[in-house]
Amino acid sequence: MVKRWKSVTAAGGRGRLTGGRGEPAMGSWGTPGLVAWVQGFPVVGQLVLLVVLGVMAQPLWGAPASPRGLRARDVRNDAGRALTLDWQLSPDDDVRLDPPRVAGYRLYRAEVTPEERPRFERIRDEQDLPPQVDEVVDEGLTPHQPYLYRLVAVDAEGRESAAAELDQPVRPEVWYFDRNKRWFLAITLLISAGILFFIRQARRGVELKIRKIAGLEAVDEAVGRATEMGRSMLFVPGIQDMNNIQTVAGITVLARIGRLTAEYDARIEVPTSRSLVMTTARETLESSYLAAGRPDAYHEDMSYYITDEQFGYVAYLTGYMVREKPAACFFLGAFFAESLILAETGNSIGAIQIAGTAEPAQLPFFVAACDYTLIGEEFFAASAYLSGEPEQLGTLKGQDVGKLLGGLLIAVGCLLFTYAHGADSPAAQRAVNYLRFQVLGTEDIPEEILEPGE
Amino acid sequence: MKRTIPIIIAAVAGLVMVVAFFVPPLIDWRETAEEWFNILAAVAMILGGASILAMHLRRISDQKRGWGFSLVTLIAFAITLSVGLFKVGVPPMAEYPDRPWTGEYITHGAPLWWIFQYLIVPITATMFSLLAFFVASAAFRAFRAKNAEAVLLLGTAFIVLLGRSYAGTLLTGWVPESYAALTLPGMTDTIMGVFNTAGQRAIMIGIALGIASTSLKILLGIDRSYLGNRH
Amino acid sequence: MNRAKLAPPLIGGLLLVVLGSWILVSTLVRHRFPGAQYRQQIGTIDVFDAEGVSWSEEDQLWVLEVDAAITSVWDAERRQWVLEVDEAAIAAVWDAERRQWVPPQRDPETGTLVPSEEPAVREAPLPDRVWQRQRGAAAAQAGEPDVHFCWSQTVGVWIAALLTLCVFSFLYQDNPFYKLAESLVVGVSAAYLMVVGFWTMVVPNLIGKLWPDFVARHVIPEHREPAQAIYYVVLVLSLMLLWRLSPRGGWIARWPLAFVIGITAGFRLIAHLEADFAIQIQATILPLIVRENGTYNLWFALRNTAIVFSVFACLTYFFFSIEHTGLVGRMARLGIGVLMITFGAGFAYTVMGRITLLTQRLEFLLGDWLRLIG
Repeated sequence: MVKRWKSVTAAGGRGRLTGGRGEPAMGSWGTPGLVAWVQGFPVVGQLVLLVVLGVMAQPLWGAPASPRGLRARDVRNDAGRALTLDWQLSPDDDVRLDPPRVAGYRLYRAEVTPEERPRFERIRDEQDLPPQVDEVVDEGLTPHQPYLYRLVAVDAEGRESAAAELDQPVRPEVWYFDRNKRWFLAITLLISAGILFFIRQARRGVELKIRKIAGLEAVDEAVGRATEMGRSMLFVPGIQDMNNIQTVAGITVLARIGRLTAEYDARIEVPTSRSLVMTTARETLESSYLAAGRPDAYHEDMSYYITDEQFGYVAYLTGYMVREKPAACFFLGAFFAESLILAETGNSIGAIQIAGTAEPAQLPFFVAACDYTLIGEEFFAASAYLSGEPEQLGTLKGQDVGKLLGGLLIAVGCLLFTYAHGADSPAAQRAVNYLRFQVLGTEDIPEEILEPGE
Repeated sequence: MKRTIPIIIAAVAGLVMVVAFFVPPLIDWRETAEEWFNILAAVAMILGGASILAMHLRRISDQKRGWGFSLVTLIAFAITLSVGLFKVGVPPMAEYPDRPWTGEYITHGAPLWWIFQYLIVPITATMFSLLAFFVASAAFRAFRAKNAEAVLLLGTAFIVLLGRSYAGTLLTGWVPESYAALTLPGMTDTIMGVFNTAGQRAIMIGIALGIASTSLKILLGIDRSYLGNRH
Repeated sequence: MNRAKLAPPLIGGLLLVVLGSWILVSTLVRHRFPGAQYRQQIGTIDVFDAEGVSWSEEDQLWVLEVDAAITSVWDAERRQWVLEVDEAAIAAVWDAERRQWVPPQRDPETGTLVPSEEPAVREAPLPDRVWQRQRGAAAAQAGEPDVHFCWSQTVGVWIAALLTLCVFSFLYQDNPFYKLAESLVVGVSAAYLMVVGFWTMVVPNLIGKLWPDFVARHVIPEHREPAQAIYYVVLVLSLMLLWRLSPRGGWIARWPLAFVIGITAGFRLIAHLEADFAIQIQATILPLIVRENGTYNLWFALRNTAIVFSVFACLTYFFFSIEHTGLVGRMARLGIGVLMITFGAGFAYTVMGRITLLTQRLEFLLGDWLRLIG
């Protein structure tokens, strides 16, 4: 337990191997007798002795050689808060040496202001950089502020080498547009434009055909059956909060189902596992009943809160299902492990079950135990499909444009890649890499990837 | 006013989030927004609590069937809430023994810890473990597969289940090395690496487009079902 | 689900008899009954399980550690620098006589840590109550000095075990025991998560941003943040949300809701197009002819072709504009096939994990409670 006592006394709790800005140590030579003995030599002799001793003793107690070529450059595409520094290692920083001569590198930084001389302060939280490191990103800087840097190598005793310094101050620049994301912006705009185009078409009255989605055709049937049987319906908007777009999508479907419920005069219950979802569901249902012309039939208890605890919520839902035997169960939202418990329980009470989620891991269970499952994109299409409004249907066409774009990118990419492999063409390989990492990526890509085969 | 302003709020908030992604100095706003959301969600729990109280108090006052269980819920709720909010039985931090509120709300041995450990954990963990039975019954249902798709699903599940276990290696161990792809582990590998990968990717691409269109509809105020329709 | 009518009650009754006899026998013969929990008192101190405080066996006193420090140390054997995490940088030790945290020193004779004569690290007045420091002890340790029977935890294990059985009883059918467990967990967990939300979100991130001094003084001593006026916006949004509770003007709650939904829409629009659209397409761009070291690899070429073709088939299935007839219909059917294989694989992958969950519960019942195993 108590491993290192020394570090506590040395640095007041923060373990630190080195002891501050140590001067090169002089050993224990400076005794008065020795000095007197040396002083007995002629002056030239004294000098020669000093040089000889100095050269001989250098490897024993001298500071390591300094690193060289310190450079600083702005980090691109950032908010002006970082600079990259690189240098050539100290010649003494050699892993073959035992014991090693360089224990690390110490970086000092100074803010350059017109008023006063730059004051260098040690950075990186009083921790030295490990040996063999020749690049570091200094973060947390002030945008546009000029900085100077000074780098020294230190040995295990904390002796500092001579400093490598920048000759010019550098300033972290603010980038107002992340250029790595320019292609991604283009893709986003293209897909959005596709969706907007078809919304406009729909508004102009162009008839848009959409294929039938079986699960959504069944919604009417489910509500109708619940009305006939005089039983309630259960709507579960998943177990996540409103910051999950699946929950939002589930609630938009609830708006349509709520309206049908109001028209058929059926009963619906929406127990939620999040307070915000409950509040939104209440707003939604109230509006749906209003839209159906039956505001009097709405009451707040249609949606109520159970608990945020995943399986506490599940315990309630399964109990509710076997007791109340709802005629239809809708599971539309973000689901996790509970998907199978819910779907199987619903199945055992013979309810019509319609599920939809974008959690790929849960789709198998819904597919196995529900009557209809809206898979991924179909789930997001549900609200538009059920609304039947032309401009909403237009968005589905727009999504198809996105799929075409995706397919096109894959096709072009695969053909190029195949050609690059088959014909061994570096130019084609460059093009493929550009497509994969620049067009379809948003991160900074090293030059090597774009210049292969060298 | 009741409808228009919320739509403007949603549109502006959403567009700022989109723009912030491309503008480095604003990128932190996305994190801030998440934090704000979390605060609002935590505050909204008061509404959830009110809903619990209203629902169960009504059941009790109406003497509805099973109202006793509502009483259990209410008492459990009230006790846990007061024990937790007032940090009952929670000692202060070691360095600040004079500040009674500094202790961790769920210190080992405190009443809230006891409630978590001996009430919440066993029930929720057991609920979770019921999945083992439900998996079995779902597999059984799929076993009586009605159509080709169900057969495909179950067949794949069967192969992967065997292929990932020792049984798979044992059953097809006699297949020569050069036909390794035909062994159960080999088939599992192909299923996971080819079809599962492809299926997942297509689902993901579709989901991204679905989300893009759902989000756009909200930002443009076309889908305002969460605020009521225009009809 | 069809069930034989008699079998379950019979099995249940049999289980009860076995269980009852087991409890009787172990109480009479072994003087230890199932589920008994013990605790060991390992010292008395004014702190109890506090952050950074631990008992040093070597030095026989309480030590207060501070954040770990990292140093690089030359490993002569491996001939390389290794980073060594100094886990126990000790800031202070507890002086039982002075009842204060004081800087430590080494006893020159024994080499162990002892409190120094220096002034206290923190001027803390004596706490008004003494907390006993304890840890769980195994049943086998019963009878050892300082090991006591622990009522609260024994009752806890019994309740936990009975609740576990209550939930399992749902597999047979709905019954009052399950209802009890259900209504209990709903009330308890809802309140528990509210408490968590209050102490981890509202206090540090809302109150702590508006009135940091107050929070630092009373709740989180390390809270060091300047006040941020922008958080009054969050406060106002929160209050608008709570306006729902008032009988009139509940529509004002739509403003914060719209804010939340707008944020979600904008955030997810970008996040999913990046991670799910661009990255998935990027991963699907594959060479359909694969050449390695000058020779063609047919197997990899086949695999890649199958992946690309399957993605196209599935995307065709998701196409909304065209009815699934003719060529498109056939392609879509292939897509469904691929999706079903995907789902089958997902199904199989989950099955094993689920069985582990069940064995964990059985381990609790048979081990922690009945002490039949472990």
